[in-house]
Amino acid sequence: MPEEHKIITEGFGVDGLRTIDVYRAHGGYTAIEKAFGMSQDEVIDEVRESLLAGRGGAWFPAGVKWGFMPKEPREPSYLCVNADESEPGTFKDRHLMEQNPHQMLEGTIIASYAMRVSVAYVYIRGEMFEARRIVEKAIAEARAAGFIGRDILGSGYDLEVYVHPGAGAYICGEEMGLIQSLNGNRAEPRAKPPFPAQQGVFERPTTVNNVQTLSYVPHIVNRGADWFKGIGSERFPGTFIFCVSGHVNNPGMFELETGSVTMRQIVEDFAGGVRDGRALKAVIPGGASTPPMTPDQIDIVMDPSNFLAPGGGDFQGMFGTGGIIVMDETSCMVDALLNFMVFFAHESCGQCTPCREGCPWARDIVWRIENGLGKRGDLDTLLDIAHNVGPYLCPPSRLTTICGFGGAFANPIHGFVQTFRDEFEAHVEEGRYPVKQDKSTRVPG
Amino acid sequence: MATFTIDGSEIEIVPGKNVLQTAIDNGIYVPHYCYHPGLSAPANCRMCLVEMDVGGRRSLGPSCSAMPADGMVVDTQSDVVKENQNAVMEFLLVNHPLDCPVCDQSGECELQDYSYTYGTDRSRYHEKKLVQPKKDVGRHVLLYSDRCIRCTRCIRFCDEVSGTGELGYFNRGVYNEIDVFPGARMDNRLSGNTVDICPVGALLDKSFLFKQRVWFLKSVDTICPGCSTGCNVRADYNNERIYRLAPRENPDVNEYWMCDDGRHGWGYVHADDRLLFPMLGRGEAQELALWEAALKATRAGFERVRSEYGDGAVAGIASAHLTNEEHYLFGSLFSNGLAGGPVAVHTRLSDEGDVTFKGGFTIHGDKSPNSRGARTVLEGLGLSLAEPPEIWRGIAEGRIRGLYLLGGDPLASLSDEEQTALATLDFLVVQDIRARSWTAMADVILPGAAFIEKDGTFSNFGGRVQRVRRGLAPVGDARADWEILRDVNREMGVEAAHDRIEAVMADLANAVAAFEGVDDDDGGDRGKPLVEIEAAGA
Repeated sequence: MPEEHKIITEGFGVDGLRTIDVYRAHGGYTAIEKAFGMSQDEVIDEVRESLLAGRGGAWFPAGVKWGFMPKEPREPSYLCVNADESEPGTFKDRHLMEQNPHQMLEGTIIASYAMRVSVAYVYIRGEMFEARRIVEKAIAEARAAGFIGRDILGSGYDLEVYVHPGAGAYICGEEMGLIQSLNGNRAEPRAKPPFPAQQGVFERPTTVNNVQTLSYVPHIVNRGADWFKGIGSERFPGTFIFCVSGHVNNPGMFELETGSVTMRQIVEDFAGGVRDGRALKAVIPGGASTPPMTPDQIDIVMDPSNFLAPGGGDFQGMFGTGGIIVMDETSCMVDALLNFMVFFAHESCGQCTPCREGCPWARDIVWRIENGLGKRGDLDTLLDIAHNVGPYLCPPSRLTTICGFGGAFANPIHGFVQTFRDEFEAHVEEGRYPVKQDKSTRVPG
Repeated sequence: MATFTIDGSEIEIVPGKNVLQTAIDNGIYVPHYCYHPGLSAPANCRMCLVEMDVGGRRSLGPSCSAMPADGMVVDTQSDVVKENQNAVMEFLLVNHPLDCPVCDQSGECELQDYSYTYGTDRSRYHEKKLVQPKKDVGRHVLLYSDRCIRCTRCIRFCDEVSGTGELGYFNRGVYNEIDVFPGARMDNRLSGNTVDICPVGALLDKSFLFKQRVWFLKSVDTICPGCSTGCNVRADYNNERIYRLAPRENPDVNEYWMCDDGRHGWGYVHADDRLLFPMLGRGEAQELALWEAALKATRAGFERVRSEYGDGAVAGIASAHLTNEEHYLFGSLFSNGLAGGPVAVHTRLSDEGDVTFKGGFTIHGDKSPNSRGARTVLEGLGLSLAEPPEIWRGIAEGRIRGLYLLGGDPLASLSDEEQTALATLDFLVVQDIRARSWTAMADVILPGAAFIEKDGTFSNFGGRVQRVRRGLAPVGDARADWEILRDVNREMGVEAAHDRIEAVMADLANAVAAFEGVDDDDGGDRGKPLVEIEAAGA
C-alpha cells in the first residue's frame, strides 16, 4: 500500500507549530533567506521549472502565471492568496492555515518578492474566523521578525500583508469574484480579458494563488525544482491533499503523491472503506461541482492528467479540488443532487442569465422529482438546462456564462442524471425511490 | 489596415469599437440586452454571444465586451450561437410575467421582439414563478421588478452618466433585485433615461403609464426646446396630443440622453391658456379677429406710430425661443417695413447656470433653444442688436411708442416695471403662445405655434443647426410663427415667395453667411454646425 508523502502537512499536530519559533525550529523561514539571495526571475524560473500547478483545481502552472506580472512595475501590483475555500467537500486550505500558517506566509512572501508586488492580501473565507485569527497572529509574528514590512532582510524589498475576511459567498472564491470583492464591489466575476495580471485588484496587475499552491513554494525554493519534479506524476508533479468525507470509516485529509494511488485505494485504504460494511454507490471526486463516479470507475489512478478536466485525459470526468465525498448504497442520488442544487442556486451571483435562471429552475425540478412530483420530460428538461449552460465537461470557452460557476452546476446535473438515470426515472415513475433508507421518501399527493 | 471577418464579410477594425457595435454598424444585427453604446459593457445578459475564432482558437463569447483583432473570424449565425440565443430567451422568460397585455412596454419591448425572432412559442417552465415587488423609485419613475431582466443598464446609467448612484443591486442569484439604496430616491434630473434604456417594461415613466398603447403613437423627430443644449428628441403623439418625448442619438449633442425637465416640459402645448385666435383691442375690449383683420391692424398701428413719432419709435423684441427662419423673417421686417427701430433678443436664463453630469451631459442655464441662432441671424442681416433693457428704458422714457413683442417662451415672465412700461405704449403687438398678464395689454395678439406645431431650425449653444419638425397642427386658429411673420412682411409690402419653410431656409442660407449650406443639408440626422464653427473645427 502506498504511503502518504507529507510535504506541506509535515509537522501537522506538532505542538505550537503555528507559532513562529516552532516553525523556525522546523526549518521555517530559511527558504525566504535563500530566495532573497536569488534574483526575482530566478525564483520564478525555479517555480516554473518545478512544474508546480495551481492547487485550486485548475492546475494552471504557477510559474507561468507569475511570469505574466510586470517585470518592472510602474504602479503597485498585488498578490491575492485565495483562502476562500468553499467547495463542498473540500477542507484542506483551512487546515493548512490553522495548522501551519507560517508555511503559507513564507510562500506568500517569496511569491510576492518574485512577482515584485507591494501588497499581498490573504482573502480568507468569512466563516473561517479561527483560521483568520491564526493567520493574523502569524502575520504579526512575521512582521516582528522582520519578514514582512519595509526592507525585508536588508534586501530593500517592502511588502505588506493584510488579511481580508471573505464576504460570505461561494463565488468570492472565483478569481475575478475574489478581486471584485476585495475591491469593495459585489463579488460578481467579470469577463476576461482584461486578465488579472493586467487589471485586477484596484485595477492594477494582480495574481491570485491558492493557499495550498503557495504552501509548496518554500519547499521548492529550499530543495529545488528537480526535487519537486521527482515527486508524483510527470505532468503534475508533487503531492496533493485529498479530503475524504461521507460514508467512510476514517474520513480525513491525506497528502498523497499525484499519480500514485487509485481512487479505490484512497477510499478503501486511507479512508478505511465504506462504513458499516455497506456497498459503495458513488464517489464525488473533487467537490460538489465534479460529476460523480461509480464503483466501477474508481480504479483510476488519481492524477489530473487521467481526467478530461483539467488534464485532457481519457476519463470523462473532473479531477476537481480533492474534496472526495463517498456515498454508500443507502444514498439517494436525487436527494444528493438536490442538496447540491440548493447550494448552487443559493450561491449563484445572479449576474448572468443562464446561471441566475438556470440554477433555481434545475433546483425546483430536482425538488419535485425528489418529492414525488416529477413529470415525464423533467429529466430531459434538466439535461437541457445543463446543456444550455454548457455541454458536459465543456471547456470554459464553450460555457455561456461569464465564470466557471455555470459549469460547476451544470456538470453535476449532467453527471448525476446520466449516471443514475434509472434512479431518477424510478422517482418520476413511482413518485418515490425504493431505497429504504432514503430519508426523504414520501408518498405523492 | 487591420481587418476581421463577420459572417464572411471582411470589415475594417475601428479601434475602440467592440465586435457587437462593429457588426451592427455594418448591418449585421446581434441581439443584446445589457449592452448599450452609452454605457460600459458587463456582458451579463449573454444574449450577444457569438463564436469568435482567433488564431484557430474558437470560443463562444460576448461580442459586446470583445474587441476585434486582426484576422479574427466572427460567426453570428452558427448553430451554437442560435442555440444560445434560444436558451437565453427561455431562461429570461422563466420568471418573467406574461403580462404583455397590460404592460406599457408592449410593442416596443426587446424581450417581446426577441421572443419572436430568437425564442420559442411555448414554455417548459412548470415551477412557481418568482414574483418581485413593484416599487416607486423616483418622482418620475416606477420600477416593476417582476419584469426586470437584470441587465443593469439603469444602475450603470446612474453610476456612469448621471453620476448620482441611487440604484443598487440587492440580494443574490435569482433573488437579486434592483432598487434604490435605503433612504435614496431616484430623483436625479436625468432619471427618465433609465426608462428609455430599460429593454423591458420594468422601469416605467409615471406620466406615460397606461396613457397610450405604443402602436397608436405617431412620431416626429425634432429638437427639445427646453434649453440651449438642443437635445435631439422624438416626439410621440396621437389624436393631436403629445404623449412623450424621448431622446434620439446624436453623438455631437446629447449622445443618447435628455433631461427630465425637457422630457416632461411639453405640458404647455396642451395648456388651457394657449392663444387660439388673433385678437384685437386692449384689456376688456379684446375680441376675436380674423387673420386678415389682425394683419391689417398690425400694419395700420405700426404705420401710425412711425408717422407720428418717426421710424425709430417702433421697436422689436425677438425671442430666442423662435427658429432661425423666424428670426430671418423678423430681421427682414426690421430691415424693410419697420426699418429704423431698435431690435433686441429676449432669452431666459436660469439662476442655477449650466449643470453638467458625470458622463458629460449638460443642462444649459440658457433656457432658450435658439439664443445663438437668433443673434447670428439678426446680426447677419446687418441689424445692430440692442439689449432688452435698452428697449424697456426706451419705452419707459417715451422714445419707443410701438413694440412688436415675440414670445414663444412658455415660461416667460416680465417684471412689474416692464409690464408698466408696456401699458404706456401707443401700440403693442404680441405674438405668443400662451395668455399672460401682458397679452391683455396688446392691441393685436397674433397666436403662434409651439415647437411641435411648426418646422424650422434651432442653433444650439454650440452653433449646431438642427431641424425642428411639425407633428401637430397649431391649436385653434393659431399659425406657425414663420407664417405669421411672412404675412406681416407681406402686409408691410415685402413680398417674398415664402410658401414653404424650405424657401425661407434657402433665403436665410443666402442672406446670412454663417448659414451657408444649411438648406442643402435637409437638417440631417445630426444637424450642421454654423459655418464659422465648422471652419474652426476643421
